[in-house]
Amino acid sequence: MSGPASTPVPEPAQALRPEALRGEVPARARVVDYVIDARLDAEQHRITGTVRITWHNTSTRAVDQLPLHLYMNSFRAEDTAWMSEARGSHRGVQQTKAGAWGYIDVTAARLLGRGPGPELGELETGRGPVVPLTAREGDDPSVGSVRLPAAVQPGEQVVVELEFLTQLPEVFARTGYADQFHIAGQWFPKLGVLQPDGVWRTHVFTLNAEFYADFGDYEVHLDVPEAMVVGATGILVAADPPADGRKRLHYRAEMVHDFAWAADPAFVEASSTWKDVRIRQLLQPEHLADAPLHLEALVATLESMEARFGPYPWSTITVVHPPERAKGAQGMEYPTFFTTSEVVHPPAWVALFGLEERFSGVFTTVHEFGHQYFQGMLASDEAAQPWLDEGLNTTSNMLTLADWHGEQPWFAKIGNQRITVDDFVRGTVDGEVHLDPVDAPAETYRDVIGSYGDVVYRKTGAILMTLRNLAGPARFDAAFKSYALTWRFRHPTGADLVATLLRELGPTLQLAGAGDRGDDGVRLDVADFLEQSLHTVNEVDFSLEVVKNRRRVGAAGWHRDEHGALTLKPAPESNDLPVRELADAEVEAVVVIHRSGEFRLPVELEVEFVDGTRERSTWAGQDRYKIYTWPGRRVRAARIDPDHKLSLESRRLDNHRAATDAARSDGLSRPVGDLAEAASLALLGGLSL
Amino acid sequence: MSALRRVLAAPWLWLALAGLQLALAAGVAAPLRAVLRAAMGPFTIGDETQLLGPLFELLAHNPAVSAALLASLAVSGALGLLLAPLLAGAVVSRLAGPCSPGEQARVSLVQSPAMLVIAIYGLILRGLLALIAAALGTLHFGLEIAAIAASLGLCALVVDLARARVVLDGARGFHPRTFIRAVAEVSPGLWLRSTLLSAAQWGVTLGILLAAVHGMGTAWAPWLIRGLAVLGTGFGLWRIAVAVEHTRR
Repeated sequence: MSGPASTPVPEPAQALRPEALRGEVPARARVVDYVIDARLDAEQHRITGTVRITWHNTSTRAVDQLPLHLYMNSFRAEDTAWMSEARGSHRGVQQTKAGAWGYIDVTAARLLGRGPGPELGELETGRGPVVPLTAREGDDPSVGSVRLPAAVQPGEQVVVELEFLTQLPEVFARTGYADQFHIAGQWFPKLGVLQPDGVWRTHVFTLNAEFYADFGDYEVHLDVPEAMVVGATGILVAADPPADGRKRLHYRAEMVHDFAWAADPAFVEASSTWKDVRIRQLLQPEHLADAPLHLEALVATLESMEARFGPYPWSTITVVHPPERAKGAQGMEYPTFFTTSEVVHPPAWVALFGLEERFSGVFTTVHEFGHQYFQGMLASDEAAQPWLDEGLNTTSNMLTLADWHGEQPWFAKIGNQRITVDDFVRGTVDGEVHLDPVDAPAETYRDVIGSYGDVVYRKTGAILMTLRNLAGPARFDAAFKSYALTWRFRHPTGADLVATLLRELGPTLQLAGAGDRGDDGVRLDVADFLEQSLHTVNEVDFSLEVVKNRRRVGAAGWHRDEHGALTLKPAPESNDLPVRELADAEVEAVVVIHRSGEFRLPVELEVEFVDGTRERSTWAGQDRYKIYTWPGRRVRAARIDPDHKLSLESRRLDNHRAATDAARSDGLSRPVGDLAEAASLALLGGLSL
Repeated sequence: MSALRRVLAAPWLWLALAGLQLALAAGVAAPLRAVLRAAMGPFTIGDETQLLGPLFELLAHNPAVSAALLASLAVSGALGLLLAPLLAGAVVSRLAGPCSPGEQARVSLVQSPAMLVIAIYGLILRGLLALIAAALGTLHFGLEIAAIAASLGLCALVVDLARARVVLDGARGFHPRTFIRAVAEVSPGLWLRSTLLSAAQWGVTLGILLAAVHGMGTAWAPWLIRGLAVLGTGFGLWRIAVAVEHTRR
């Protein structure tokens, strides 16, 4: 890796990495190509242009219309599907003022050609007479369609050209402008996806629905004011000499499913390379010093993700740092291009308290780059199953942080205390997270409920990390990698992920470590675990109901002897003694573990005896409770899930309990009380003398 | 007699005030500890080096714990504000020379309304100086910080001088003129000494917070914090003794 440089690293010659480095990029995945010619009016914040779409019907059904995504129309009025759910706010950023609407208008459409071309690309310049077409908007203006004069047969290709005008909104949700900063995401008319069964998938753009599209090649010509510094999906292949205060740039991207770009005269560039991948950061001047921090995070993520999920296929990645006044554009991913957020630099005195965090800026870079795999390359339908992108990406982020900083990495620190990534994730798997299942379409998560982020991102992460902990890291990581390698450029569904995990892990699995103590009778039913995790709102929660020692059952009382006569065996004198004074042989330890949540899964129990020994057992967790007894032994304490394998279990305070006759601190009242006492002393301040 | 000698000549005053402070802090924290114990019930977190996760979980599910925590801080702040005027009369009279506990109690009781009014005048002065500091901050951030530090010392000194005049010379505590005269009495040397001692008090407070944060859950932190609190009380007495010394000359 070379460090960030003020002089740009040369553009890569090819949009994809060399074949030996990029991994499999299946040619059959290429379904639609775009040639776009667009002009930015930076004063009106308006883009006008044409898009030529060459589409290959890879299904078994003829189609006579081409559905379109007109995403920008979601910002056209307050009664669109997107706006009526968002109510003018996205991720806490408010729409700035009435009238700063965005929209896209398809002003003309025409058929340029059609034919049986065996490979995409042959028809892209058009063939045959030009036929005018009519573009219509759907019930929600975020979708539309173009009806064709004749059906496109399976295997056939069609070339249509659309003229469009895109008015960018003042940015509050991913796309738009703020002064001279412009970010053009979901900005051009884009084709829906024809599923293998011949049904078009063109989702209405709703608040939490992101994107889904076919792969293809993009040739994009941008005409922008000369002062603009531009970053875009793909590579810059040509730049015409500036004329009349404007310049014309030609970008190329291969095997991507979207194209985004940003332009700002204030951008300063910091470029670098990782292996043969060019890394280009476009920053605001005041944040230039942070470029190495983001670069370090990006390289750590590339290293981690290549090792875990296979090669990154493209030759470039562009990181855009939106200005403060365009916060709504921060943290969004597009192919080979993403926006990040800035590292928060607290005042120096904060460092005295040992306060550090890894979530501002740097984590955004880790997270948004992670999308290059799950959104950019596997490219699942984010509207239908958003967890396949956001949730799997969150899981990969947790793994990246562990690869980068070691196992159990901290997310934030203060003084001698730390909040680990696991603490953070499990802390969010509570409350409203139990209102919606993970495997659900994006539009079913209602903003007023507020469950989307916790369910789709973090609960998915907790599910997969729980499975990883139960299966063992090596087995799970191999299965996860198999999924990523198998489904590159193939738009996997949730069923595909589940099938891969079942194939790689097996239908049932012995809990990691359990077999070491001959405790392999309990196995995890992987399918059942995934079914409960993904399709129910069942909560993982165990508690210790009883941890105590009691007198063993003896032989006192009337029993029949060998002649059938009743004989009395007197009770031992020790019967009247309290349990703590009985001989060990007269005592038994009792522990009752209770499954208080509805989620059924195996869990480990560790019991600490008064002689200092410890014993672990695994409970299948299918019944409501289980009673354990250890005759002749005294228990000191018991602990559920001692290795914190169950990331899904949010409530853990009832997982560790001392025996009723054992003196033990609760562990929290003393240090928190001491902290409050210290705060009191600080506030009293020498009695404020 | 120097100001420090006046403090050292009144060890029981120092110990009594420090003890009162420690007792109040412990007393304020006691209900919180009880609420925490009740909330935890028979359970334990086991690992006292990882407190934040369990603490957040407890706070999330037990509003009573949050309320108890906030209440302990609020009560501490209120006690800090109210006790200074209540005790100032006793402190000044003892630092001025030998004085029976009964006499100290009488002076405290009689003078506490005047001490409270002087504290309010002090807050007004502090507000005015804060505005000036903010104005200087528009020129340079360093200027603002220096101005704030100097103003804290100045405010404390003026309040101390006014209280000493009221307790020792019978000046009219409610009248603003007593406070304004105290402002006029400030000399650079007095100001410097008071500022340094105020800074030492703030340093001790910072030390308490740092020890609390870096030593959370450890056995040593509470004792270090209590020791610092005793030291902070000493610095406070020393600062008041500077004003008493000036008034006695």
